[in-house]
Amino acid sequence: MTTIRLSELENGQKARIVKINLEGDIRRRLSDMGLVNDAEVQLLRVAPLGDPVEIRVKGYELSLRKEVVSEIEVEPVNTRLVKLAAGKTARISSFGGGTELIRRLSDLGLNPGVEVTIVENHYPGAMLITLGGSRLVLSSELAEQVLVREI
Amino acid sequence: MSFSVKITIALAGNPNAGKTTLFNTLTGGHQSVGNWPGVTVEKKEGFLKYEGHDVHVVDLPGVYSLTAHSPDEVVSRNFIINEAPDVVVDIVDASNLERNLYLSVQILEMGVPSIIVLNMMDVAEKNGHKIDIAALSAEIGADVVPLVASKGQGIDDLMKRVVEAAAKKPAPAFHLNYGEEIETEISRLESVIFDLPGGTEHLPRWYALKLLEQDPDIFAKFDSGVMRKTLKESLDHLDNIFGDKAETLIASARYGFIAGLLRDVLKKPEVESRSTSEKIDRVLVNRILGIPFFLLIMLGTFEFIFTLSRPMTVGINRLFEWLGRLAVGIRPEWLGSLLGRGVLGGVGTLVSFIPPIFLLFIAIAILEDCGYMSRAAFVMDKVMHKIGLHGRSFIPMVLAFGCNISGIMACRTIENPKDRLTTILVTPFMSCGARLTIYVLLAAAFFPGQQGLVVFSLYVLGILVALLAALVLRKRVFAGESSHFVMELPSYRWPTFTGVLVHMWQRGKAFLVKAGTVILGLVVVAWFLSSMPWGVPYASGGSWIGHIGKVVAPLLSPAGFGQWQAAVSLMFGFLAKEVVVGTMGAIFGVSSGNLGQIISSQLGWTPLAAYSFMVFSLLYLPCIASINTIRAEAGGWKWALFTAVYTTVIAWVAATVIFQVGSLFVH
Repeated sequence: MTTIRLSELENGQKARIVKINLEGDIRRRLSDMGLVNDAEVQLLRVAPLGDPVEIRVKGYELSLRKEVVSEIEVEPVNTRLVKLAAGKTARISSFGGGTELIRRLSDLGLNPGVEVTIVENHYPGAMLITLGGSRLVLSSELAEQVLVREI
Repeated sequence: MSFSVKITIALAGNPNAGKTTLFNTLTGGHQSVGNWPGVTVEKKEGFLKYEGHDVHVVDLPGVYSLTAHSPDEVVSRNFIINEAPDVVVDIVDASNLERNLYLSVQILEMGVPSIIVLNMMDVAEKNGHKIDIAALSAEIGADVVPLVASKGQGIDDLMKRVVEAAAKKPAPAFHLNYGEEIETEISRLESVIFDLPGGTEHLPRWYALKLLEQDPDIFAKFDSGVMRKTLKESLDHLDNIFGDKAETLIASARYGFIAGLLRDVLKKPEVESRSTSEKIDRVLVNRILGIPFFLLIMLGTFEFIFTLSRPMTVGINRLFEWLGRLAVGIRPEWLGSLLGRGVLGGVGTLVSFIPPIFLLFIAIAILEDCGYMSRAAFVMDKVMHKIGLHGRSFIPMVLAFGCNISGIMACRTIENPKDRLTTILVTPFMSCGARLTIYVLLAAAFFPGQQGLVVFSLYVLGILVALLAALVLRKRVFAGESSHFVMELPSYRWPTFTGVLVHMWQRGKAFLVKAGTVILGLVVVAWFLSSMPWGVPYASGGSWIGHIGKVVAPLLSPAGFGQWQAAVSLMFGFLAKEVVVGTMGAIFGVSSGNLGQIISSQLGWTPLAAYSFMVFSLLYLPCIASINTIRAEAGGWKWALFTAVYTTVIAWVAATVIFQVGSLFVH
């Protein structure tokens, strides 16, 4: 898995901290707030002009400057299903859409915790996945809303 | 002692679980297809005799759940509640128990006598799945019957159980424990339902569950001030405790129950081998190879149809020419003329299209039954995405190659209304079997040696115009978010002989009935207009038909075919496209044999004019039966008229551009 900057996460996406490229006072203050290697963080929202950035760590919310956030390297915990290439396997974490979407997917057996394998990904066309004994075709818009954890 | 009892059974199950195969095996040819009242969902019923019992089988639409979120689900659910069938036979794909049992649990919760059929046991066994049927039956409290519907194995056992179950008192409804918090809310709602008029009928528990799942239909049934308040409290309470919607909690509880159940009754191999279907899919729907394979399969299909049908069509033409010559000799003269030129000419035209059209229906049935059709939709999704539609819209367009009507009707499976309407409106551009007659005739006369290429170019042109029209319609007229799209792909299967025949016959019969009635009526009208005023040479410029044609013809001259004969045959083509050739035949007084040469010499067409005529025939005004289907499926005359006008305008522009631009290069 590749690491990206915390600032590059999408709203709501969770990640694990891999490396903090900061020294001195600021580094210590981040550590005091729980931002240490291996800690799980979630990007909550970014203010309209890109600054500040709100994140959640160890159960509480923090507001950080953009230049600080962009020096924190993370490994995303959840990715969007649509980003996975053919042959990958992943476990469903959660859904980004509304209830109607969740209902339809859960009728088809696509629930959090379920393991899926990507057979083909024709992005921006649809993708073909297998789960249990069935094969499902999901449009890219739908696969965009499915958050998964790669295995 | 045995009584003959009338038994009604309802077949329920997931799509692709083998419901249709079982339905065909049970009822054979004794079935009828109609519509469920008020919705455009197909209703299939059939009858069989089993040991003296009259068994009425109703095939419910394939669904994954029994909520009220799609017409299919509402139809299935209402039938089970309101019609109270003697037995609900729930068909389950044995190789995919987890997902399929989700629906079974919902059916069992309704408290109707049910039998669970484990279909495709052979596939499950091949995958190394061992199912403890006795334990499964004991845990869910319903009969479980193993079956291989495609091979007819287990049918007799199933019917025995059906007769037994119909005679028995229904067992109490299956009771799934949803956990303390949800159970408390269920009880609260149950007591509210009890106090409402008619609340004790059926199952208050089932209704309470549906209310928690926020089912709009059930809510309307029990809507009251108290209910509103109680339900809101219940939903808020659950949301507070679990941080999730009640319907998600209920679905999770059902899946949780099934997972536990399967731990007891299902043994799977440690490492599941990759299924055959998956191996095939990695090649056949591959990102790069998918579209070439699709085109190859399409080309193969058309090759199959034309190679097999050509000799049959030639034979039928000869037979009717000969019969026609005999009939013209009949006296009085007008009767001979009506029978020979009119009736036999028209019927002959119809009959000669039976071979290619039925072969096309066979090919489509094979592609559907083996599982490829939905793969084609997946492969084409990338292309369809660019024009704002989904791959699912592509299936109706392929079906329309057979007959536009079956294509337009297949649009019902598209859920998003804007996608559906767009697909309905562009489907008439797909070249149907009837239009093929025009190409075959003219391509042979004007493009000898290149018929295949010319015909293929017209099919491709039809697809391109359809895609282009869809792009404009979807992005301009019906602008809006593209919908989410999810579809299950069936396993690849060998199509069964009876399955393919039943499919072919259902579509073919509809085509024959439509064509038969329309054409027979029309040829009499055409014959009459061509013969009046009495005494003029048949279908000459002096006949009524000639006069009508001469009025319209000048409009068509920019496109290169401004002769009255062409105008008349195109006008009759509105009734049915195969009539275009028939009318030409009637006007020139010959059957299809050397009609092409006569058109070439009498009308003085260049190959360019002939091609322009074919393009116009492809694109203009769909036949009256298609227009009527568009009215029914798109919901009103507005869209039917819109289609009639816009297709004709596009046809005129396309034919004129091809003729005028072509004339600059070809002299």
